[in-house]
Amino acid sequence: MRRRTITSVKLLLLAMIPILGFLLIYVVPLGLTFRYTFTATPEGQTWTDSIHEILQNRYFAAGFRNLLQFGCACLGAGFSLALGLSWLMVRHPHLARPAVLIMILPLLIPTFSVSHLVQELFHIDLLSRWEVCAGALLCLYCWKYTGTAASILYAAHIHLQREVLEAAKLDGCGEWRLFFRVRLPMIRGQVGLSLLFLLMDYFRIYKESYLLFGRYPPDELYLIQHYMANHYLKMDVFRVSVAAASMAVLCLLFFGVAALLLKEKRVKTK
Amino acid sequence: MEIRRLQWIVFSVYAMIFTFSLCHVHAEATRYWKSSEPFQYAVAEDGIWLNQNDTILWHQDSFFEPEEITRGEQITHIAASGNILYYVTENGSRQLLSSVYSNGTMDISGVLLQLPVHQLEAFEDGRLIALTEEGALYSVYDRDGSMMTLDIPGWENAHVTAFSVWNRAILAYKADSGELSLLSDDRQILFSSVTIPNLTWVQIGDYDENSGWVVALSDGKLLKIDLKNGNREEIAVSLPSDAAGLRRNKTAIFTLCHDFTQLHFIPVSAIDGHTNGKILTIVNSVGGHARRESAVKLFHRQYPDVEVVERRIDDPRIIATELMAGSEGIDLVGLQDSYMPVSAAFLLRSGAIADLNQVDALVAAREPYRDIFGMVTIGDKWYAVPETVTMHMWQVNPGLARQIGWEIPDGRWTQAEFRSLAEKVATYNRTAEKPIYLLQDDTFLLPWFLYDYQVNHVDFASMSADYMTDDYVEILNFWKELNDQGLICKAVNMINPTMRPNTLLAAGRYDLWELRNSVCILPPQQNPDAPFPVYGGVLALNAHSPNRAEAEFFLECYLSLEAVSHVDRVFEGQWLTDSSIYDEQDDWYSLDERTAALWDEMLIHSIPELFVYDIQRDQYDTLLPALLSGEIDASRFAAVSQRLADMAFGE
Repeated sequence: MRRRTITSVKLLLLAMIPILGFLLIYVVPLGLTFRYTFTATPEGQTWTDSIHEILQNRYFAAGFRNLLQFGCACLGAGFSLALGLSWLMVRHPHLARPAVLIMILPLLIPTFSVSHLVQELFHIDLLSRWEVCAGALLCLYCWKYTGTAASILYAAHIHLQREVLEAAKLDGCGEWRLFFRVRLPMIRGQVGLSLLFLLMDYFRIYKESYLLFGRYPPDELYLIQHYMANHYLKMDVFRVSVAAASMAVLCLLFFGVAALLLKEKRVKTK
Repeated sequence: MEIRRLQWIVFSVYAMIFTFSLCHVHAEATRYWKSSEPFQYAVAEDGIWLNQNDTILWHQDSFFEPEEITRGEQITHIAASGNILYYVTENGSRQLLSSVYSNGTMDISGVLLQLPVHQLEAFEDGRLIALTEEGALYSVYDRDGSMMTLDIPGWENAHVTAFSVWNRAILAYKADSGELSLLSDDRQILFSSVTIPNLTWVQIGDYDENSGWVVALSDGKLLKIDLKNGNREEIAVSLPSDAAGLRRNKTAIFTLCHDFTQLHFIPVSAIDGHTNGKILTIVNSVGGHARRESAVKLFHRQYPDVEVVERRIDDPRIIATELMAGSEGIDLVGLQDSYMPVSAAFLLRSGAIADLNQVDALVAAREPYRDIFGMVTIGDKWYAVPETVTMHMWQVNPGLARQIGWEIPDGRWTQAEFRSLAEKVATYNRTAEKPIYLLQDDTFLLPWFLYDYQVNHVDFASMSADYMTDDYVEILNFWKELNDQGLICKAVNMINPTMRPNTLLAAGRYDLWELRNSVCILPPQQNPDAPFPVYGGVLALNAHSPNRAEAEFFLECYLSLEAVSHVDRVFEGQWLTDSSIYDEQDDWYSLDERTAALWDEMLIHSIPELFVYDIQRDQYDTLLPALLSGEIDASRFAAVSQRLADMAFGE
């Protein structure tokens, strides 16, 4: 009993640093952000008026809309590409190891060093059409982040039980069917993980967007991050806070709903 | 076993944090610049001079790379004064003195020094003091290189091993006797010598009639020495090992690391010992030193315990963060729209800077002024106190004007009149032996006509812009036509633009003194009743300043007659109604009356020249070249400008 208590204390001590770090870097600023959302109202305006004005703002709405739309495009393209790459690696195992190394490499290369190249490749400037700009941003996103997701999926593939796959083949499964009907369901945990990584990376896409288009991108690529960053430089703490808090709420809702659905599914499976 | 190992890791980390907290000192030398090669440095008020491999570099913003100014051969000593660098080169056994401005203009070149110097320092007003190899201090006359020994009654000018100059004083140290003396520039002993052994470098901290302190390096430690009694204390500051050299500006003391590859600085306030009291911080002010000093004196009459500190922050994100945080970092902030990533108009809208109209004392302080505050007013809000002024003024070549038969306008004139002038010049060029240019465009970024359009169609109070008009398209097309006809040129040297001899007009943004030798006219306006955009440095009040009352009072002092009388009217124009307040000996009377009158007209009909930086940059970098090359038409230019403006103003 005493031994277990000591172990618990040790584990608690061990966990304290990351917990403190998380509190300091995430929770406290988030709390302050929520506080500012309610307290930093511009002079001469009531809170409800200010919130109403922000919610009615064309760019605030466009920021959220584009975030969702472009997010679907990025996640869809990124995940499809990752799936395809992992399948190719499964098919050609002798190429897998160098391929994983090459695919991880973009994470180590600063985006800044390739953004100019992408600008040149797509002829990005102020006069470019938004479709070209979206294509450039999508390519940059896929180049940078898809490799990680593909590597996660590939790692899952190679740990699948060979007997199951052999049995499926004996039962007459073709390559496609084997991949989609056998392999994918068996690695759904890693599929979720890779999607989570892609989603997290997508929220960081402002950096790439800023490097390609500056503070004011084409209307269709204006994300809520632009709204926040621009108002940050305008020192409008209220608008920054409202946008950040809205995004946090949206994320919490999203993850909450996802967790509920998963829980329900688990219950049904049992 | 694993747990035990992890346990050790955790306790090691805790131990490291604990040790760090114990070792943490109350001040730390911050690295200002690092290089792979050794370099020399000299400190100016608004930047650092570096000498690296006989290349003189000027480093104004720690945010950017240093800029190469000039090259020399075997540069041995450098010293900074204002925006001038003095440097000594060795040519055989001779030492030659040269100087260069931060804009690259040479001042003096290769003046032979009378005696070989061991150390050279410069006062703010350009006077040079040298330490010779024999250990004596000399005044150096930069025009002929002659040197005169500093004879100070009661002080022996010999055996000096280190010295520094600051403000109006010289600090001299003699290593063999340990004698440290503070001398005034008018050859008096300010503080009788104190004896401190083993000092290598010395620098003046602060002094007045009754007290004073200096800093010195001794065995790699930084000492603060009281000049009155010789008491010394070690400053708890982490210095680079074997630091070498101590030079300073108003806010910081700089030193090099032992291999001369890293420059570090320590804020003076960290050494001064005043940090426990209240501090009023002014950031990035560009107003004159005399005005500020005068305001500080007035301020201290009411707030003797509040220290006024100046800071320079090059990174606007830091300003943004500190302003928003309302921390004690910024009470008053100097703004210049073209140097900030965000216009003052946005800061006013977001409530980051205060509307000074709400402060009755400040409104009352405007009474002795002429009606010049349009330049710092957006809508009905007064957002800052003016510090410096530049305006769009045009210069004329009167000889060419006579040649083509054009009567120079005396007051306001319109763009329609300018168009007929353009036709006149084009007609003249068709038959002339030597064609002339209509306009040399030295305006910052965009042509004048676009600034003028902004005055009438971009409203920073309501945050709206109207670029989708026929007027705008017409102006753009007109500008393209002028360029296509070859009637527009640029200055040969854009850093120091001078008017080309074959140019009728030159458009630029100037201070008044730059126009003293020119025949000037007002720029042509679309709407002849419209105000003129004025660009300058202004001092704004952080709306969330924890020292709000003190900051407001400082601005009141800054606006006072006593302080503003130091604003040089030959540069900025006459701001005060009563001209007798100004120094009668100033150069005002050497200015052309007509030019001064035109300047007045603009000054009292002014609005601030505000920038939405991203729009202007995109217009200048992308849209204007595309328009002039024919890649896009004027309507597209207008549409893209409108899109950017909608986003910037509407978000």
